[in-house]
Amino acid sequence: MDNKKKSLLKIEGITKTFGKVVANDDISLELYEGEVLALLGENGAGKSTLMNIIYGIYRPDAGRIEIRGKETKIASPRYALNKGIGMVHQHFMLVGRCNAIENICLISKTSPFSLVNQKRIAASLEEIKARYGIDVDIHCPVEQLSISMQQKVEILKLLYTGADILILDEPTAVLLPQECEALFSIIRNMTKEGKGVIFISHKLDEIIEISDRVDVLAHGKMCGHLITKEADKNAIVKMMSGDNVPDMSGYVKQKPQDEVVFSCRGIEAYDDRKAKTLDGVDLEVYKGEIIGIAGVEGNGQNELAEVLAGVRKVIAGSISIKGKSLRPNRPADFIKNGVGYIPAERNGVGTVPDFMLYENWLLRKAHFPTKNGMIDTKQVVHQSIGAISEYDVRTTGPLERSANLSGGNLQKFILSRELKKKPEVLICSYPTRGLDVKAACFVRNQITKAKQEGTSTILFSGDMEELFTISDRIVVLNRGKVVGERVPEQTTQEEIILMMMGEKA
Amino acid sequence: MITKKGLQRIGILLLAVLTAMLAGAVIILLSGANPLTAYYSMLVKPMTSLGNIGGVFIHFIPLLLIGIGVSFTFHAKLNNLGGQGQMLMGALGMTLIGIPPIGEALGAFSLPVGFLVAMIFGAFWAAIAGFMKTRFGASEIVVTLMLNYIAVQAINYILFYHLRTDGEIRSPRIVKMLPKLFEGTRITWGVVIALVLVVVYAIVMAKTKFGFNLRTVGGSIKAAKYSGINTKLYYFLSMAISGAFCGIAGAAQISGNTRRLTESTAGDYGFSGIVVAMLGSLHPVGLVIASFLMALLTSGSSMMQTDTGIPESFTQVLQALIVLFILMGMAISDGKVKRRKGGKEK
Repeated sequence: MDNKKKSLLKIEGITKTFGKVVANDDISLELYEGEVLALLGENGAGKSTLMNIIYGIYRPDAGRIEIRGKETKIASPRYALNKGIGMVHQHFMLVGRCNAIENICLISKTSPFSLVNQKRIAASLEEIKARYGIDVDIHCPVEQLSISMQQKVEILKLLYTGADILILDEPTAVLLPQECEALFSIIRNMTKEGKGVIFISHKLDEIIEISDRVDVLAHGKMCGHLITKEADKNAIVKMMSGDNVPDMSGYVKQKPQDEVVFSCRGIEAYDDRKAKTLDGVDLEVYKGEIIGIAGVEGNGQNELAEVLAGVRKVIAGSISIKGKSLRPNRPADFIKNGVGYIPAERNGVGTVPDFMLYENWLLRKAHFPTKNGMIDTKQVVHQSIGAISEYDVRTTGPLERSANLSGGNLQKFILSRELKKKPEVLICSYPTRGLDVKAACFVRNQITKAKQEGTSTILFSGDMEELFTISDRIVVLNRGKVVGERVPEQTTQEEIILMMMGEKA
Repeated sequence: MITKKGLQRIGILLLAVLTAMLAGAVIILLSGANPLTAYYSMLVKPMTSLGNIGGVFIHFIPLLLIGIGVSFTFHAKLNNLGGQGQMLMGALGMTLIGIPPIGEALGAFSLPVGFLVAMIFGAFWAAIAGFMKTRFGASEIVVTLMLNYIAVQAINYILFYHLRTDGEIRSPRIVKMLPKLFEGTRITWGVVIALVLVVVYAIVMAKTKFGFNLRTVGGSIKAAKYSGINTKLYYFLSMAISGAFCGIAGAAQISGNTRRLTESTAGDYGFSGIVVAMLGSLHPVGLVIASFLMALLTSGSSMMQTDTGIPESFTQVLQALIVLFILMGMAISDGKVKRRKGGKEK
């Protein structure tokens, strides 16, 4: 490391826990002026938490932060900004109706009503644009700009405030390849001016191209500092996955039968921002198998799960179950034909938070228990009590409000509701996310148990161990396409991670 | 089954009414009257004679019916501010069927037919807002509110050019009126109709798939979609049904009270009905209690005016205060819930 360079930001021993979950465990890093430090790690490795601490959104439980050699406590984003720390979030913080100048007025300390100030801001923005080579229309309302242009407005905003510690949270996730080049040239211009950049990404190629150093985070721990020029890809991937071997004992794997029960062809779909995130996905699911879907967040898994469960529109493609074609975006059709769905969001999608448990028992049911044409409430309560005890849902009873249940217990309840219908196919979206070890284990066991009874499962998960432990096949998604599939026993986590990053097919 | 949340809700409502009356007492004091006398003539006096009680029930019927109607939209987390317009349309339906010559031709059948047509008219008027909401995403609050103005002027037009009688801007009398429940009072069978419809409402909401799905749509639109519910259809239906009940209120008003259609047939019931739905907390029994209380306030206000000189419009102040305090109470209790939840998620 170059000793002549001044340290901009130094953090030592940062620890942050949420409940029982340790998001950051004794993390240290240092950023020098004029360099790009890449921060690499899987989903849930603790990158966002760390950045939110640096930006003053969270307070660390332990550890110290130094800015330009002086120890400080960062109490709020406003304070961070004053200290020269700026962050471009994945979701932009811009007012759509306003143009760049007005958006920047909002954060500047002067009155936003003054015309003179707007002109002055416009002038200094033009100067910044020229200095860093940022090409964007500052007079156009932000909502009419493309996403890459909006990102440039965000960067302009930070440069205007004079920030010299810039955090870019997955800036390339929303960009097309040619747009990345423009961003990189802006970043290079910034480092030439002596600014330090923390660049968060999953994408190895980019990191190797733009960064000077790489820090690797895994499971909340800092597990490697590398100098980019000296590192090779395989070494980095090894660091990311850690070297734990998944424990496969206790799960019965059984050969799936040769009958295709569920399939989709050429699925194309938009995400909520109207960006095309699924670009021709084909999938065949055999009877009684568990397919694991792996992918870096934002590569289309959420959308695929919703499409397969019938709750998202498609642009093109077809879905069929047992040879019968299903009409996309008609959830009732999917329910009737035996598609179960465990959504990623338990409160608000999987259940109505204000409903009592027995009322939520009726969600996603093709037929309600009835007596004389009316809902048989007694029967519903009875069924839900049965599920609560069989699936060990810890609650005061069927009259409890769903919102009062913990994540694990609510998940068990939803799982029991879907599995009791003996679905042909079960779509599981991040079923163990945020659950403690015991609850997660229970959920996995139930999924494998259902498999023995002939239910096929499509398991979307960000947890490598989970994918390796219970799936029969792992299918990898990258940029909305299936890039390959592997049998867990014949591959390694490193290989899957490389595929997820689009390095290998 | 009264849950903890239910008890809390009842507490908030009672507190809201109480605080509103205390605040109202201050206003009465400031205008130089004795709050106790004022509240006595407002709340107790209307119940002291059979004739006075009849007056309370005159208001009770439309308030309850509109309260039920508004509740249907509240369950889906929609708002219906168009009770007035829908009630006028219903009243128009009843009038068209009830006046000669159709009324004479139909005889006693003019009542059921009139109610049916009123229901359809009211439902149609609200369905316009439902259509605008589901097809174009137009705010149902604005649309229902604006439809009120159109309804009032449409009624004026019809009265002026087509139904004018004796040189006055009002319709002819309808032929057949609802029979009295008790002879010698003003209490009609309209009370029975309204109470039966409360029971229907209770059954639909608690015991049918339709009611359950409607509550799911209101509880979480994403969960409704997840559950396979056609959310747009339910939005549309909840508006239309809401309008149907307001239409029935119009028919009951014509056939049980005013006998003829005028511009002011619907009075302030459209908005008071919203207060009923809120104060009754969408609960069938709650709706009955709330509409009785509102009816009491409305009919007592004129007695208060004669006794103490406080103008009748004070009831509206009191109603508005009740709504404000309910909303404040809900916000405070929901706020607590949210804060707790936020803590858990982190």
